[in-house]
Amino acid sequence: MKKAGSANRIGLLALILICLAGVGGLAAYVKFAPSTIAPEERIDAGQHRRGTVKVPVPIVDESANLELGNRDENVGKGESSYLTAVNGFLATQDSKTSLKADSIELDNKVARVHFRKGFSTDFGSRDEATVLLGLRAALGQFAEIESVEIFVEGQKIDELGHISLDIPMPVIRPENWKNPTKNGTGQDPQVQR
Amino acid sequence: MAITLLMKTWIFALAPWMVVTNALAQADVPRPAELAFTHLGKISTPAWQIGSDCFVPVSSLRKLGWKAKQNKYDVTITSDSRSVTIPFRTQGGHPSVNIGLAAKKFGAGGDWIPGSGVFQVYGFVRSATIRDGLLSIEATLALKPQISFLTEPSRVVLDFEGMRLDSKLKSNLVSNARVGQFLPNVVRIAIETDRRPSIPASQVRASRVFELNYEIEPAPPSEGNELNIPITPPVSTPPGIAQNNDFGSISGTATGQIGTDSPVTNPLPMAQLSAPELVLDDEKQTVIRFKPNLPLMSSPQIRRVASDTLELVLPGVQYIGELEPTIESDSIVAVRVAQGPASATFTIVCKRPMGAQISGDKTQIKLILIAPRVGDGKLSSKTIVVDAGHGGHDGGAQAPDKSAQEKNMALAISLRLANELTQEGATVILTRSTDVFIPLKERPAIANRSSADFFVSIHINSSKSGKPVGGMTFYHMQDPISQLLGECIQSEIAKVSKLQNLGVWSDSRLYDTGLAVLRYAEMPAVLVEMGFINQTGDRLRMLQPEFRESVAKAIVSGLKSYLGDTNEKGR
Repeated sequence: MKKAGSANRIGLLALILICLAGVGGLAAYVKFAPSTIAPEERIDAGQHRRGTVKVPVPIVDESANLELGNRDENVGKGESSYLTAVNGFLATQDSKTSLKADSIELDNKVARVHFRKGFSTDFGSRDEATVLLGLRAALGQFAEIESVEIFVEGQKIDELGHISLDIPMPVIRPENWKNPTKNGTGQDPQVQR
Repeated sequence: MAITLLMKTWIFALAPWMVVTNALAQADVPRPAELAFTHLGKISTPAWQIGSDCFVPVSSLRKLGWKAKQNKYDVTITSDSRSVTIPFRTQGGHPSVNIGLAAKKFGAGGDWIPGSGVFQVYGFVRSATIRDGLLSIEATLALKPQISFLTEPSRVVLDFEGMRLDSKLKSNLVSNARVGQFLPNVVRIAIETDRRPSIPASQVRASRVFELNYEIEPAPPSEGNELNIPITPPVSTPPGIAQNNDFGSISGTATGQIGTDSPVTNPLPMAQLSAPELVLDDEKQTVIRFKPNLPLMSSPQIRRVASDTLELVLPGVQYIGELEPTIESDSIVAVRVAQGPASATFTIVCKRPMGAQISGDKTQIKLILIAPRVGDGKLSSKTIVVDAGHGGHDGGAQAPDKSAQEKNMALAISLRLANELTQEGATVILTRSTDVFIPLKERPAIANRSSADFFVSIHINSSKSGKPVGGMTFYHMQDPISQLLGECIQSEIAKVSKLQNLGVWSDSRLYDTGLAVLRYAEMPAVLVEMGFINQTGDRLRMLQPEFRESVAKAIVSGLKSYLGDTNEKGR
């Protein structure tokens, strides 16, 4: 009996040691895990409430191809994380003009982005597509949002200068930011002159 | 009880380990890596593999010959007078950039060498041309050759390590000169010449453009080597096989680098392909089938080299049929096959311009040639809707100094185009001839109601991101007929515009639902973006009256090319 009790104590001690090592490993992982999030990672619902959002950063190459990078931006006290992400992106397009969302409301998974004025005044087709893709991407990091609608002075707009918005604008999740129109390019025949 | 307690204890003990293992499996934990860069080989720098990307410190970019300027949120990298801007992240205490992304922005490539932890960045050779004895090579990253001289026949061989042939290679090399992918990471150029050219001093530093005048008298030997470009001595190779062996046999083995006797095995087996077969030929379409004995390594590509001539490139294919296979089709004039070191190229000359699509899979490729409906083939009998973009309260893009507005420039070009088309005898409908606003959907509706034959929309581009320049033409989604029309028009515009040619784009590359005026048009429809109004060079060129006239005439030429209308005047 004594021998059995001693063996049990040794076994228990071994288990406690394994447990402590595991807890130590977990603590080490938490401490030394990568401090930044890889661009393709998705931010889960609610995570934005920690105070940081991803702002899409458009990267257009010499041949006019678009890719969306990103940077972190802190959400100010009392500010909307949606607006922080959207206006952070819009500032990459033009920080001087009124290209700034006024408010964003969420209705049944549809984000309604409200502008006061001046949203579609001076877009070339590359700019226009970049702005629309960036808006969809900025809101795509929030899992509770599935699509986007644009309102100017309270009126839902159906078209800009080149692109019709009468078709739903689904958000672009962060894992697709690198190639935001991949569904289009994926089927392109590789034709050149 | 004791057993239950023991099990519980084990579960509690192992739970943290399970959490750690799961977390590590899901996280993109940075792992140490190495960087190999073009001809420079491995670079002495910290590098990390994060997911499928390779990050290196911004400070190490100078070792690649790049200059980097760190901004608040991103880094601007300059190489050979070209700049790209990409975001950075902090890694290992250093601001670091995704080197693969940077390479891609410069038009280059990068991938992991399997199982090695080495990320290899390589450039693409975009053009290899010879004019008056001057060899010019242009690549997307700086290149530097290793030069060898061989005899029987006497020739100079240039090996560019860390380079790959661009699938859209522009080359005029003919019988006495060849370019090929000698090894997976080495592009080789061999030129038959009796001369032993000296290397110009300008080539001491690696640059994106390499030039070699091989017709000039040789310089004293000492000048050749002082330039730090390795030159191996002439090597005699058996007559008759010399030139082919410069590029290795197409059956999958190369004969080794010049100056060595050791064979180098090509790890990528070539698929063999016999003559293609005609599977359908009627007035609407012609379908040609290609059946290699192995799956293709990558997707086939179509290039339109003239309005009536297409090239089909089959990568990793060794063609074993006749070099001019007979295709008994009413639509095809001739088929020629050129075998390269890494691909077979079929040149298909059609009787008239035809749309093209590829279907099938990697073991059975179908080239579908689609005949556009052209009626009598005369522009004079056609109705063309010319759509000047924007108008009224919708000014479209504008110059940064507000000196020019898209709606006015598009209208001026459209009016000129209408005039040129009218002179050709065509019927023209303008969606607007004054500064008025027309809703997007109404523009193609005008064309649909009038049963127009073509819809041509004129726009001026702008981009607040990056610095793209040049003109492009859009067609809708995967419509091969509108694509053909776009190719005919854009190629004519490129001849006269004096602006960069950004090619022909599916509008789904711009935005996934495409451009509204093209989506709702029921006839062949294109949208021409002439140039970028926010770029001074483009804008000043587009504001010239001569530009309006020449691009208007070019669009007319493109329409006639599409129709096969070769007469000077329709009436």
